[in-house]
Amino acid sequence: MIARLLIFAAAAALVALPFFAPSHIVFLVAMIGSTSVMVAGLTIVVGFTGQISIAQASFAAIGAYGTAQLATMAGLPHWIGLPAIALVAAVVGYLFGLLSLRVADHYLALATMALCAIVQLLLIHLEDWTGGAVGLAVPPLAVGTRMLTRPTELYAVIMPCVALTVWFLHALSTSRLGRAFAALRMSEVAAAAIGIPVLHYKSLAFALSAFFGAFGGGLFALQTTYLDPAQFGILESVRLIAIAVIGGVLNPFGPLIGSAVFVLLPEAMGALGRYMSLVFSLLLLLFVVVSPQGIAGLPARLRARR
Amino acid sequence: MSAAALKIESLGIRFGGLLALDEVSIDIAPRSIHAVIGPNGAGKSTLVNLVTGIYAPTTGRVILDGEVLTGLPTHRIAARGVARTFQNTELFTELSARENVLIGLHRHLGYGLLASTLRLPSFYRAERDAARRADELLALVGLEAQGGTAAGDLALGQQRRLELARALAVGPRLLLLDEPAAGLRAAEAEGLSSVLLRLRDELGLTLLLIDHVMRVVMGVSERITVLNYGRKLAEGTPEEVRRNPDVIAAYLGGSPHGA
Repeated sequence: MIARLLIFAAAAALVALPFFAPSHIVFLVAMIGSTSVMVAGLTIVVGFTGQISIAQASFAAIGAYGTAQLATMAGLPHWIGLPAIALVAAVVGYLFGLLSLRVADHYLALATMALCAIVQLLLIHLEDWTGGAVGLAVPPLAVGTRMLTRPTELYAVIMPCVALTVWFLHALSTSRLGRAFAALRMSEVAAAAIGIPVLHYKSLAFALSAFFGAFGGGLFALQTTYLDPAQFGILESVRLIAIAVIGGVLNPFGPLIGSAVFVLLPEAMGALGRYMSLVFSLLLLLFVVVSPQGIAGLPARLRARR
Repeated sequence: MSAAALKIESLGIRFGGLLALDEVSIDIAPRSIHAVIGPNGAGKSTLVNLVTGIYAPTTGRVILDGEVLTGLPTHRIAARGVARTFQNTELFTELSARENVLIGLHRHLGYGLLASTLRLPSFYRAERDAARRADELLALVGLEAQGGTAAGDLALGQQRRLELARALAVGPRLLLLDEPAAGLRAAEAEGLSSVLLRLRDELGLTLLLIDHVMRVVMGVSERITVLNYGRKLAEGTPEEVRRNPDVIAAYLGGSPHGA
């Protein structure tokens, strides 16, 4: 009950935000939103399904570069280009998920890390397509002839996507597919014995993860307006995992909560910003040890204590 | 003699230098309870893992109602009506008992990702039917009051019954039970026997029962196969097996492993 009221109040505040908040705050909240969409993908593959992926930045790169270049090179409007590239990423994610037939656990982590390194190298060396190490500019989002570049306008585009993503996570976790993902996380052999196609479903989890990674990456591209390979390395993948874990990997709101912490904390720290990596590392460590279900899992944990 | 529901033909598997199962053949009649017993390491669990496709056999094959199962992946074998329980219980421990059974019903819930995301009427209908079916199955194994309890928090006897309910949710023709009576108290073992008989008589299932607990095996099985060191040592009715001198030797004297 309290949770529902809280969700309703937060949603109302987010709708009202662009009407009263200064535009840099609106920009930051929209940044939390696009980050949370990327992290939502990780929540599915790492949280729900219990696989490890250090490749989420690569899928974000596919979404970001794809959105930009489909507009620049093919003249495709972002409205079509962004969802289209997210679907392409989903196919890549599915094929990549088939890898989990051969490798599991630590080796899967290494394989996904290798993918991430390869994609970053491609971003640097496929200069004709990616602008190489220098990067490329992202054409602005347009409706007809009007360019949507102001923070409030992007906010109005991004936040509904975020709401749909949260709903999708909720709907997934309470559906047969979500339950099957949970089954895979807890016992693959029992899941198979029940008739769950283990490899197909793991690949499906990777496909969904890639879809949201790319979709979030595309939204992120619209906000940053400039892309370069340094934004999509292994460190970024690790950062996304840290956000997922700190927010809570089993809760539909986890990605949003985690992203809020990771976007707002550096702003709040001001001059101490150079200690950011240290703070995040300690936070991650703290949550892994004290509350593996992240911030979203804290209320249930406190209730259990009492 | 009626056609065997399950035909195991000279099934064998080798793990490195160890011949875990050596050309074992067993015919199991439909709607019967067939037990496989034997000392530890005799190859009983290996047999279950071969029938369910978790291991690939070195020799032989498994045929269910005329269809060859060998070579199919585990989830396809399940789809053909083969369900099992595990010796050391493989429950989804963080989930509630009801959710465990719901996952067992996975293949029977027809809706797709779109229907569940948009919450179409077909989603609600299927979920409602599944919830009712899950409650029926929980009641069948006597866990109607434990539906909301996390599977990992149940007592061992309850966990074994929950695994049975989850296996039944798959909708099997053939049910493989890997030591369902292990660790149960006497009263619980009695309850298990009556449940097994109901599964055969009321649901018409064929059961392959693996166990050490003689009281259960002798009481419910039509036929018993005795394995020892991966080989078939004896086969027959409970009475025949009980009197077989080789069996007595393997259990009481000859085997260094004991029973």
